[in-house]
Amino acid sequence: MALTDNIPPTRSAPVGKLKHGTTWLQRNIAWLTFLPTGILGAIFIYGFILLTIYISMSASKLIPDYTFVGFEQWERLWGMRRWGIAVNNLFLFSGMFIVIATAIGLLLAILLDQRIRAEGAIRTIILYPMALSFIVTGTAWKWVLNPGLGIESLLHDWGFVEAQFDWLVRRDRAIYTVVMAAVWQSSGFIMAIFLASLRGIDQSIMQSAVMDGASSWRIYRRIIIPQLGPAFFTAFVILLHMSIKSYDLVIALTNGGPGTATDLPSTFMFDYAFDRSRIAIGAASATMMLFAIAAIIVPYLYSELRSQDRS
Amino acid sequence: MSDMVLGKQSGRDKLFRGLVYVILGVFVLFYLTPLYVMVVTSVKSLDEILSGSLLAFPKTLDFYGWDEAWNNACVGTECRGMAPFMINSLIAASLATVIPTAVGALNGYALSLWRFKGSDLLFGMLLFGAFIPFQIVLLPMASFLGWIGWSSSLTGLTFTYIVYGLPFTTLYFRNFYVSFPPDLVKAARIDGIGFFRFFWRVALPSSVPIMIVSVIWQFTNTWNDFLFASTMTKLESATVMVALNNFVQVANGVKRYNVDMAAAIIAGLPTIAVYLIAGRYFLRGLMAGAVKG
Amino acid sequence: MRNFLKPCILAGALTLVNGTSAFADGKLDIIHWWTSGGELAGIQLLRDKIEAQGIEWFDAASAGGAGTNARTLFRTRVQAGDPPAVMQALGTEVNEWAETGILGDLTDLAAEEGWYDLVPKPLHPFMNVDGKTVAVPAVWSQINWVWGNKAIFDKYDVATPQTWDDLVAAAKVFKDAGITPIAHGGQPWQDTAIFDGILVSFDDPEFYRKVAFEQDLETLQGPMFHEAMERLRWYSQQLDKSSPGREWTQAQAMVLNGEAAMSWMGDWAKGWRVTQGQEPGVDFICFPTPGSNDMFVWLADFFFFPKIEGEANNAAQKAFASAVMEKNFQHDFSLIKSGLPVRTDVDNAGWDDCTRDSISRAKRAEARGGLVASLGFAHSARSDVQGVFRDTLSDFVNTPDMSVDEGIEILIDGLDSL
Repeated sequence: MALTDNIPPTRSAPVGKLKHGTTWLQRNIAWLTFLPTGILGAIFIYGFILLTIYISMSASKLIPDYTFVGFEQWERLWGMRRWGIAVNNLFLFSGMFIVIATAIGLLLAILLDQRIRAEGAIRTIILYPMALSFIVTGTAWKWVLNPGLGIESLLHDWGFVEAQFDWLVRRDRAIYTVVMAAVWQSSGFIMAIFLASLRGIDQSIMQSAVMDGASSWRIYRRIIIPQLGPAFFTAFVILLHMSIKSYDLVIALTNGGPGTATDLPSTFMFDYAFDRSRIAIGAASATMMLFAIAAIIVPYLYSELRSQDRS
Repeated sequence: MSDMVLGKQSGRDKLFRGLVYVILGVFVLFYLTPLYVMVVTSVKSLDEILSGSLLAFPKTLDFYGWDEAWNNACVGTECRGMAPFMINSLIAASLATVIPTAVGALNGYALSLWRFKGSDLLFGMLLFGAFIPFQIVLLPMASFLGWIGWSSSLTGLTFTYIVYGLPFTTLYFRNFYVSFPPDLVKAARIDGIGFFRFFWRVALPSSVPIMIVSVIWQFTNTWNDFLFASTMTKLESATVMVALNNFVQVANGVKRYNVDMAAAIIAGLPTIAVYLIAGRYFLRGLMAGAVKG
Repeated sequence: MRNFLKPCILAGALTLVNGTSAFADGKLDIIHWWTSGGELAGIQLLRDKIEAQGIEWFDAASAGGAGTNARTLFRTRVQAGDPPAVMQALGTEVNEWAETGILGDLTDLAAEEGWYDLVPKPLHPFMNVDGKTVAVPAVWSQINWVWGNKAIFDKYDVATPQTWDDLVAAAKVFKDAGITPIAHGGQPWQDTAIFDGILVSFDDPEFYRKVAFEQDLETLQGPMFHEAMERLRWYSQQLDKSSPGREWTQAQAMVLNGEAAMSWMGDWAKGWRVTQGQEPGVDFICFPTPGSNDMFVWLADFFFFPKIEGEANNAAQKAFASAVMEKNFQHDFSLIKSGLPVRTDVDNAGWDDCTRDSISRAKRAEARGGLVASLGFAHSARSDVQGVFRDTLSDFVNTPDMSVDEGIEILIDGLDSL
């Protein structure tokens, strides 16, 4: 829906009859205008990607060393226990994050679509986390989740002395707190996507369903939700892409800990490329992240641009 | 708004609507809690924080935290408060908002209304740049900035933001202009109205909404960036996110939660303000982009 | 001076020009991670000395993670061909960077000032790489220290633990009384640092050497290392549950305010206590990790000096090195920052009992080969090896149901995969 929101004009638009006497410049002005950006993109996106991939196949340790070693570093990377943990965590994290954020986003969108009072205010509140960096809100999250200071101690003060809320400091639970914070930050956005989509649905279908006496639940399940397919797809792509890139979230909340419990490929990359003397390993892990993203995004972009052309 | 309202036709209407409000209320609390904790903690005294409850309303307002954060916050032996870092962020975010927005408008215009051979492919390739994990460009970018003499400077950081902001702004404007009535463009071209004149006279004046979207997007993203800022700045060029991260990690003695929280709020104020003032466009920006970095 | 600089720096930021300097005497930008307690006071002392010479000081402190953020900054600056004038470093980091050829040469200055006659021998390999002097030590620190809250020890009538069994018994007393026996900052570097203390608690220099320097497979699979991991497991059970992610200063504060009975940390924790107005023997007690009375596991903080442009700047680097090595400074610095001076001829006036104890321990240990470089801070092995220990030990500490055998297996596998 990102790109298909706007139906493009027919392809013939630019091919109108041109007046005589156009100069070369006039005929080529469009691509010339784009040229500077194109050059920047070629260097800073594709050039740098190639360079990093090359470094991942080099012997670089402390500083880049351009001796080619083939896939040696990639093999080493995949043999590392910590990389295994990071990849595992990514699956766990993105799986939960996508499902929960989508579910909450959809629920909120449906609820907000019920002619709610103060809808604007509620929407504002649900969306504001998107405006703030996690470096900012992480300070509060860390505190709220800390068993000695936050919710757990609050519950103890209220008399629930047995209450436990110590996920942040438990090796097997900490990743869930990262999910919780990520959902908090992004679910409002997903709500917005669904809400826009809900409001774009053709009203007449629903009205006739209501006439037929179908229950609301059935109408949502059978008629409305199936029509949200493109919104689900968009939400999925966005959330998956966000989860692979998540970085400051983890840095601010757990810094990868306890131990390596909340390590993600993004934090792994940072640690190896910058803190330890393993630039090639860091580059290899960044390359893996790029491949993962490309595997999702390239088909997505392709299908989006194709469907625009067809319409 | 849809005419279909849950429970509308049933007798359980009131109960149902009540439930809707209760669920929404719970979520509203969930979303507001961190902000609430930050605000009340920032105006409590340290004693009250350590003795009292996390959610309790402050007994007395104490602005020590704000004063300390703004005037005296330290990184190492430098205690300059937050102002210099806010200025850095403001400079970087402003330039990285204005320039990519201007360039993006032209790009989007050229790629949509003046399509040329391969323009869709080029657009797709540029768009891919919006999705890449930026970790992959960190080291090459550092080398490049060093090579042209912008290492660890605000100039270099701003340049980085500009370059990686272009895919987003181009996307916005391209998707906006693509829905222009084709006849209008055709007519203009037949009349011999040139590329820039049409852009200046027709396209640009009509694109204020998407311009606002682009501005909000670039501003908040640049302001909130941590990955580039934490690796490409030094003390004089550090942005407020980097400074904040340093402040809250330094605990000389007992951790001063009120100072930390006040510093965090100060660092978040500009984007919150932008969000509140232009919230409607903010939402539209997220939607139009639908490609969050 | 600093007030005078402020507007310049601000103006620099405003015009987007960084570091324009009108000062003739060179400038010195320094990356370090001394941001709290005695460490901060110590670097301030150095700064005052440097600025008194008319050299401009640009502080690029970066808090957190025992230098993690500072290292990131340094690496990007090197990558950009714009290294700082001075960089703080631990142990083998100096050697690794020296081998890349980016460091300047202080050999002449070292000869002129006779550093190698003054500096304790164990530090030489980190100052001198392939015959070139590339770094100066600032201070060296004993890591195998335990700090106790004196009031708590007195109240429960617990004597200073001499052996591991004493320690276990003491911890039990505190636990039964509802006091957290050990306050711990659960960040990976701290998890590894306390393991240094455990490794020397066996009072066996040879064992330490085999593990920390050689990563000898037989030793790692042997009974003593098994016991070391058991001790680490025991340690992990003495902590409060909020420890993961905690800053080291926060852990010290818990001992100070009576929430916990003791903490393990290098002697910089004493420097922090002193800045909090605490007195050794009155407010707190210090003792070596039980069993390690004749062992001394150390780290040293070094400064190294990348090659940079400008004669004035190079002179500033030398002035810095000179200032760090200077006798009076070494005396004052070791008092404030806490630790041992890196010169053997420094007058011991003003030292407290803990420092005296530390010095005599260093001498006893040296005589029997028990003066050993830290594994946790990458002195006995390079950062990749240390990194494997760090990941494994930190996971082990934080995973209560990981068995010792499993931990050892993961460690050995990790070392294998390097």
